Amino acid sequence: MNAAHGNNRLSLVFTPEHLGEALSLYARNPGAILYAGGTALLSKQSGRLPIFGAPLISLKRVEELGTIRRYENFIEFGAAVTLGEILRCRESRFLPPVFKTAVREVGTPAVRNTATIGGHLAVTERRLLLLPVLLILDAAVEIRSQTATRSGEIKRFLDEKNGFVLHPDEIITKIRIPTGRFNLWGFSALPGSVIRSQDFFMTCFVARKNRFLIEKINFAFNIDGRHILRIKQSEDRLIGKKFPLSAAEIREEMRFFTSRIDGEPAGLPLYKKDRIVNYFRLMLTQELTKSELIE
Amino acid sequence: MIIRFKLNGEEKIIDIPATKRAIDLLRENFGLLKNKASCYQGACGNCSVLIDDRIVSSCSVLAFDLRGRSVVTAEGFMKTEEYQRINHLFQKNQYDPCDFCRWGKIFAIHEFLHSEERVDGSALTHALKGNQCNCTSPTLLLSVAEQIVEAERKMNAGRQHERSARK
Repeated sequence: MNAAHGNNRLSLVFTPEHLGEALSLYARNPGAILYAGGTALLSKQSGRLPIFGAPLISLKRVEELGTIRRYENFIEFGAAVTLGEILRCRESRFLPPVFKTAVREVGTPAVRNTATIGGHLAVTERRLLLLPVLLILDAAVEIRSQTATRSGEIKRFLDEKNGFVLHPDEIITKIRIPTGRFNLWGFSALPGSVIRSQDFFMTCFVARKNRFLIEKINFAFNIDGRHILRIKQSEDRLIGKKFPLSAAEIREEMRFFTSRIDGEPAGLPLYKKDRIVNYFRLMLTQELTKSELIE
Repeated sequence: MIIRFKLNGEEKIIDIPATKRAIDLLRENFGLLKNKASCYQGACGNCSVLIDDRIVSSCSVLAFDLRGRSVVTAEGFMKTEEYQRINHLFQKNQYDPCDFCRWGKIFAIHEFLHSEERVDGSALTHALKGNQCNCTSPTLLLSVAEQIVEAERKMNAGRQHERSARK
């Protein structure tokens, strides 16, 4: 491990090479800032010489966080793997297409070459693009502190506003993305919208369809980069339904869905609700009527 | 902090504040001024450089992060044959972007060239979307980039064919 002092304590940087060192440093330096890709961290700094107000712990050289492994039912990414590496790695051809499509939508190639998947999840001020996609894929994370390890589906670690809840000494270490579960998917981000914009809107779904029957479906919306909306009851109602739906069935599902999003998320303007409703209608009438696609 | 890294093919050792941005290090400490610092948000693409042969916004990278890595700036890339070929097609098409965005566009094309993506309008548009300067026509940029990618890939395929014929 190396520690480098700049002109003052504000630019103290630790560069551990093993996870144990990183966890111990994080425990010994409460309030230290984790630095992985640095994209989100530096975009908040307007000055030329960034001042962080706390020591940085760089995770870039931590060996265990840079690994990519393929298992029978999932692919496991170390949290410091960049989004560019995810798209280029050998294992990427086994990734769910909805996830690869979403990764390609994040920022620009220059951003993707530095932004990491763990950093993407750990950003707390905004709900970034990949979070809803990982949620619908039932992706899992491993979170570690010096004394404990927690792991499980991402949704278990989110608060009611879908922000990641980490204890002060915890680091996201692995992200596991299930493969081969779905054969129909859709992803759409409003053209030209960027995650920082108030007008950001994206939606995604995955489904497993057996001939005409929907066996499983998950869908989510990211609105303004602030809200992630999932209507589980609507998902459950669609399971076992035969597609294409009749006009009466579509009307009934639309009525139910609209009633569920009434008042949620609070304070959402009408035109944004219309977008959500319109996409749901599109999903029912077009996307889910398509034949099964490849994984 | 003392860091050692490769800059345009030469080993460099420098003592700098660990949290200085890479773009400022390159411009102020090494006098490499062709890459510009504009937004400091990683959004405009003007500070793009190649780190380990991958396009990166150097305003979004801290100096300590360059340790042990290889950085190529506009000045270094200008000496490559690939640049000569790209520049030739820029000139042939009378495509002349301004000094601010020029290198972001060239490095974005370089990145696409070394990806395995197929050449189609949408993939290229996506690859070039990090350059928002409107000094030149985006349609012309797309058309020139298409020509460059096709020419380079044809050339690489020809070289591979030659190599396998020799074997």
